[in-house]
Amino acid sequence: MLPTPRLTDARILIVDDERVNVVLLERILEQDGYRNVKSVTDPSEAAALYDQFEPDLVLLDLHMPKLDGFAVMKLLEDRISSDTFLPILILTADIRPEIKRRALSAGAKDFVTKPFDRTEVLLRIQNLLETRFLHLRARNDAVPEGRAT
Amino acid sequence: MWRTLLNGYQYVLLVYFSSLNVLYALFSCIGLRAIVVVFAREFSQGSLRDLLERDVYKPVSILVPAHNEEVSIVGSVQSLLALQFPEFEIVVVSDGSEDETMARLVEAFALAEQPWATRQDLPSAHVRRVFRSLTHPNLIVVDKEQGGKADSLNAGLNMARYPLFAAVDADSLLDGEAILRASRLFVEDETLIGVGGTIRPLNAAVIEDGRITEARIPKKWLERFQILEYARAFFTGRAGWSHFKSLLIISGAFGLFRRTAVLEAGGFRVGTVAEDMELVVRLHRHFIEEGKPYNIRFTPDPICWSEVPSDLGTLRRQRNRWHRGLWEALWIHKRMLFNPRYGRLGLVAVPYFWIFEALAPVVEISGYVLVGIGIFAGFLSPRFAILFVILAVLYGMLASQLAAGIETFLSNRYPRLRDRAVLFLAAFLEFVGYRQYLAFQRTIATAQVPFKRGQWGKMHRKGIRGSTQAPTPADPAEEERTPANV
Amino acid sequence: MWRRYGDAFYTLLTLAVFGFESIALGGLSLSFLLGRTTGIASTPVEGILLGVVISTASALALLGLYLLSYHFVSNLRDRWQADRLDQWTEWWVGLALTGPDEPVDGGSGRHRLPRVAVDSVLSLLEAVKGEEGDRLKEALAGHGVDQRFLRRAHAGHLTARLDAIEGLGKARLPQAFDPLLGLFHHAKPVVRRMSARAAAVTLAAMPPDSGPDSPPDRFIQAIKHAELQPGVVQEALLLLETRAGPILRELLADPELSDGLHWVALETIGRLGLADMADQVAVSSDHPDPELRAATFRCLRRLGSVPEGAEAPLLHAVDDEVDFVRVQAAHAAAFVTAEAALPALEPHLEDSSWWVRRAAAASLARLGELGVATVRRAAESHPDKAAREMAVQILLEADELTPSAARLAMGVA
Repeated sequence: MLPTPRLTDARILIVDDERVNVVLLERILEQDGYRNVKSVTDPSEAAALYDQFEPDLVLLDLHMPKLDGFAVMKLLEDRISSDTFLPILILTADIRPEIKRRALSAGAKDFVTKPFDRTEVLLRIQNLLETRFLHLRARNDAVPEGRAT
Repeated sequence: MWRTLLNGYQYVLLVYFSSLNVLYALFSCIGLRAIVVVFAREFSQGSLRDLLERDVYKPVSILVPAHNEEVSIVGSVQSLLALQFPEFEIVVVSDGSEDETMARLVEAFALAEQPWATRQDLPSAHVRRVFRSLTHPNLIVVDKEQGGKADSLNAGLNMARYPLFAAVDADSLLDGEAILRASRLFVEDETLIGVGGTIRPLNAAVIEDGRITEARIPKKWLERFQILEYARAFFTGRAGWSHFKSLLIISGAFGLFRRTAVLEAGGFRVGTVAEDMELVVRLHRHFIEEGKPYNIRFTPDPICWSEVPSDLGTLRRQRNRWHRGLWEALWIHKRMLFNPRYGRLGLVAVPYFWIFEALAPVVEISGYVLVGIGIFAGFLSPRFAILFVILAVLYGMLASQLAAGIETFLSNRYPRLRDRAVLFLAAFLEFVGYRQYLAFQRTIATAQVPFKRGQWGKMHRKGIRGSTQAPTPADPAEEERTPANV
Repeated sequence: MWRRYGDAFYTLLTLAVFGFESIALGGLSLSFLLGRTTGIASTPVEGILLGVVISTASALALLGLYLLSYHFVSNLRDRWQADRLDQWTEWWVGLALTGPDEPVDGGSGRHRLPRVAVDSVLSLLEAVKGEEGDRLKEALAGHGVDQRFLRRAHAGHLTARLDAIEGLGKARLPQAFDPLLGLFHHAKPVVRRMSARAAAVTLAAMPPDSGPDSPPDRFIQAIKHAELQPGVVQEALLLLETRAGPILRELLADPELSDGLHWVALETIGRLGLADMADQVAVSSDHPDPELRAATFRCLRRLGSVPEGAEAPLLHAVDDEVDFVRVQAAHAAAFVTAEAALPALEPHLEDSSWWVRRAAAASLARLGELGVATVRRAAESHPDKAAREMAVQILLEADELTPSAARLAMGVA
């Protein structure tokens, strides 16, 4: 059985076209102990970075030029196998209920509107990561010994 | 006798040349100032972000006139259906297509015939059948007998249900965001009846998924010159006139109108090649005559990308058509010329277009001819003539350079420094051959006006929708389009 | 859309050049005409012509040089700006997360914050609220930015004003609320529009309050008495988000509410989905103005509920003489009891308006088993072809029919 990885070792990917939002989220995560954070402001690079980085959590903005959040989710969907639990947390200023519905049905696991509260966001991130690691552990336990994920 | 006539004409020429350049300079400055002071600072990124994420818009009917477009029609409609706009409908009007246009549409979109409502706000050629799509409830297809583009637009207007409409060109890339920005203006201003956006040449741009991801300078000088032309026309020309509340032209490629206003004015006029300009002039006229408050404006922000001719032949035919259209539109509304009843339009804008837009190429060519004769006949010293020609060319370069300057300040200018340098160079080269060639063609067009009323001439359609690479210059698929009633 | 540095200078330069050239050209023409008429030899005119050519060429060179150097400079500047923005953002974020290193004073004696710093903090305020947001707002006030904005919003050049108003909107500083309300009466519509937006987002960030002379009340009064276009009011109300409810309630409760504002209120309630206001909305079900009737039903439809008292007028409105009222009523009828709605909707399957037919069929399909059965019956055996086709289409969209079966039913290849 693999040791429980510390939550703060989790790999987190931030996708937001606004540099300011990226810096904000990076520092918030850093202050809370997360050390493995990567970010990208050009959404077309998100898929490539995902392949390379293999994050445990994705923080995603919805309204971006060129490629919007929904398109990015579609790209990621093609890359993750059905038994992987990849939490995607949407951060957006759009408060319309249909957007929330659409995002959640497109594969997002949680939804936070901007401007957000720091404590709340960290809590949500923590919950999602815990779920992710539980899922990973359950998958590992089901696999014969000697195999790492 | 000849000599005095020629001498007299020299004065006319000089006065014309001076006035043209002074007025041009005036309007360019007004336009540039309007861009820099008003437009650039009125809408900033922040407010745009807000409005994208709210429900403030008016729904739009998109009219797509089509004649024998079997090659590209399905792709065009598909990319329109994918527009990122909250609420819209598409009305495709097949203008007596004899090819597979209708069949392909029926197949691709599961069209089912409907008895259509008897609303006939505008006269049009006989509508044979109306279809609605079973898979896309916001798609209507009208199969009617041939009547020309304006007639098709009128038929489309009869079917449209939304308060705003946009008439789309098949070779333009329409952007949902552009429509959103334009439609928002109608919400904020109840008197607004028409909005024109900016058109930029699409050639050589990198297109992914129906969106421009990077703008690039095309390889051909012909296309490069057109980039400058469009920048000048929109950012100084239209901006200036709009600021002066006398905008006479809204491009067919990207214009949003209030449906009720256009219906009130009588819809599109059949039998003219520049139905877009004619409509705008008529809208002005109608609302002024009715004494109702109205507003027609240009806004530089919504950008539509359109394919421009890449070979001389197509360019020639296009400019020929545009210039004839200009004359037709002006002639139809000649009552407005110098008529104080129409305020600024009658006293400034319309005369300007008569004298300095419609007649300009004729005067220009006659100027060159005169200089030639003058040198030959000996009453014009060669030095003087050459200096004068140089001066004319330098002035032209100044105007071109203004266009290159504008392209420099745009936020989404060409990203590569090399491209911008090429554009800078183009500003100098534009006035050494290209402009003169166009002036010559437009002079010919002027001569043809009485004979070629309402004729479109040969056009080629090269659909760019559904393709993931930039369009390549293609062989024109030639068709003659002559409306039924000329 | 436009780079806002160096452009003003370029414009001035262009104006100067073109102005000078125009004068030169005028002078040239004059001298030419004079020379010819008085018989003076053309040499002095040639001289003038040469002079004008040289000056034009120089002007061209001057402007050209400016543009060329601008390309290089702006490239560098863009990169430099991005770096500075990053630096300032780091600084602000640090301040927001850990508090300021030193207490912020009243703003006097501090030198002005550069524009990029202000932009950065305003962007941050769009992203984060709560304790961190408050710290940033305090810092803004400490640097006197709010004072600067307020001053500029009331005086000076239009573009500076608009910038300032927009900045106030982004900052959402409570102390700016009343001055913004005051700007609702400005002469220029664009100023009115921007201040309405800014006031709305500021109010949305303020703590809830109610009663006479509270901020929401002052907001309502300002809207009622200012000359704002309906679209602007709608936008402002939408921007209020969670604070919109009580304000809309107040508006609807006013017996002297103008029709325009009434319409806007109905639209907003619908778009914001304030279901608990259905009763208040339903009051205008029988309003004399068809636009307002239609707006009422559209709103009820968006809210997804029709209060008991409104059932009767709604079902009556399904037969309204104005077609767009029928459409909206038919759509809203989907939320009425099936037994009452069915007989009202069924005759409209063959309505003269395509849109009413569609609304009627769509609503029937949503009224449970009985409704779907009615539509199916119509698809199979309704005497009117249009009604049959509409029924088929609706069944298809409701997944009660497969596309091939639908095509078959319509007789399409």
